[in-house]
Amino acid sequence: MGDNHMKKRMIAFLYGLVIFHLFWLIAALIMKQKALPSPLEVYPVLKNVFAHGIETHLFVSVIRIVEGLLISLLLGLPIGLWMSGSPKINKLLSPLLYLTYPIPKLALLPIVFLLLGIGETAKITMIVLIIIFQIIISTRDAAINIPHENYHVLSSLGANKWKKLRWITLPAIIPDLLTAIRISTGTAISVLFFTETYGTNKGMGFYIVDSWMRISYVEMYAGILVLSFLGFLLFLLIDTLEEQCCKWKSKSGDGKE
Amino acid sequence: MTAFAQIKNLHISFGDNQIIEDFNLSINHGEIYSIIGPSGCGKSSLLKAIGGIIKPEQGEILIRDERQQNFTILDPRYNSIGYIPQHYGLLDWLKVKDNISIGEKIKGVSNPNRDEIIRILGIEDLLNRFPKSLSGGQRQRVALARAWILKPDLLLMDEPFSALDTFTAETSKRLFLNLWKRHKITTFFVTHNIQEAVEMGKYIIILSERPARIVEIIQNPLFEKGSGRTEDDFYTLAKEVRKKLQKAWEIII
Repeated sequence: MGDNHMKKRMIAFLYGLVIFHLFWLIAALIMKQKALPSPLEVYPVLKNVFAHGIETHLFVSVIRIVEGLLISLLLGLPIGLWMSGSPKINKLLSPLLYLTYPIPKLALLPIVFLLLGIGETAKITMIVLIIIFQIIISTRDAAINIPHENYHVLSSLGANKWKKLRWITLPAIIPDLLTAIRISTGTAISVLFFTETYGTNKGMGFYIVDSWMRISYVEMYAGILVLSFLGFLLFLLIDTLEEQCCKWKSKSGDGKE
Repeated sequence: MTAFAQIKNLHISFGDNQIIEDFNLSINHGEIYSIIGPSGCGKSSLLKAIGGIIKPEQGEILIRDERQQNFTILDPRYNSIGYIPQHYGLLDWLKVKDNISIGEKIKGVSNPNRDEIIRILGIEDLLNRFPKSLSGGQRQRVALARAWILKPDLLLMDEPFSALDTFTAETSKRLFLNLWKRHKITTFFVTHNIQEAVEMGKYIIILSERPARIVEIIQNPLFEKGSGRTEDDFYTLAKEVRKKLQKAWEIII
């Protein structure tokens, strides 16, 4: 099952890539503007931008995303589990969660900058604000849906609550957790881009906007390409992880690779 | 014969609801006890209390400690209990082989007869599959293996055959009795099916409606003979049980 599936996905991916570049090329040929160079001009520059240190910007951005993700997990997972374990806590926190969840977090950017300054803390806080709600909600919902019988069996084996967490709760919620992370990572990258246009001289957001200001369109496009690939790679990584962790969910799952 | 385990003065309640009232039972080693009672009478709660899953309001369950030659309070941390819930409680994210050994992992023990049990239950070919891809009968056999591999002091089964079709249930019962004849594990078996209770139980415990009390304990003379459903004796006994149930539950079955 695995090989064939991967092949299909790779073909779909390549197909998408070809179509995308075709549209880009046609648009560039029609518009004939400096602001829209064709892929044939941008790709040769990719080599140069790497030679000129775009990777340090890329690295800083990746670190910010990973930090944001880890902090969101570290805070969101226990809160979600806490809510699923205690109806009282759930009742207390749920209204707050539902109230804050739909607020577009980007709108909070000025507040976060005012309160935390425009440094690293504010940038990572913005990422956490976006991801953490998804993590709390999916952790709570997935944990609530675990059949009680699973816990009963472990209770009768004399398992303590840590063993129940390790053998039941955590493995049961992983697929939903990964789905939540996959969905929110895209948004997190967009917001990261935005925050990186302020108060920093490192990061892909800075690089792209800086190139834009210097009217270096080819570099700007190279930056956009690199950031897009970063987003795509993260997506692919989480998607693959998700697939590995979700084998047990399918009815036909024979557990073969 | 000295008792192997004792349930003394057990009361179970959820809030104001009394579920089980004054349950007393002396349990012999290596016997099967069928517990039969009307739906919702608290059979499952009784089983959960014995298995240490819920805390009784009052009373205690004692089990004989061979080394100390006395009775200690049954504790799932120190005693070995095999509990099979109605829907088997398999962990969907673990392969069959890992589900089977979950008890061993948590208890830190291992059973050298593992392969034999797996073979008798006919699940050798399922070891690398996930529970969601199994049929009801297969899932039940996996649950049985999980419990059996622990060589439990007590085996607790909550309506284990009620979710299966008739033919699968028959096969499962036969497999269970095959295993049981090799290693006689003290078993509590909850059911609402009279024929099943008579077929499987050396002792048949009849419970009243909620709050459940023991109405009567019938010693089943047919159990040792291993006679099948077709014999007249079996139907006579089943009829007798039915009459007692009708009287106890004041309903027409």
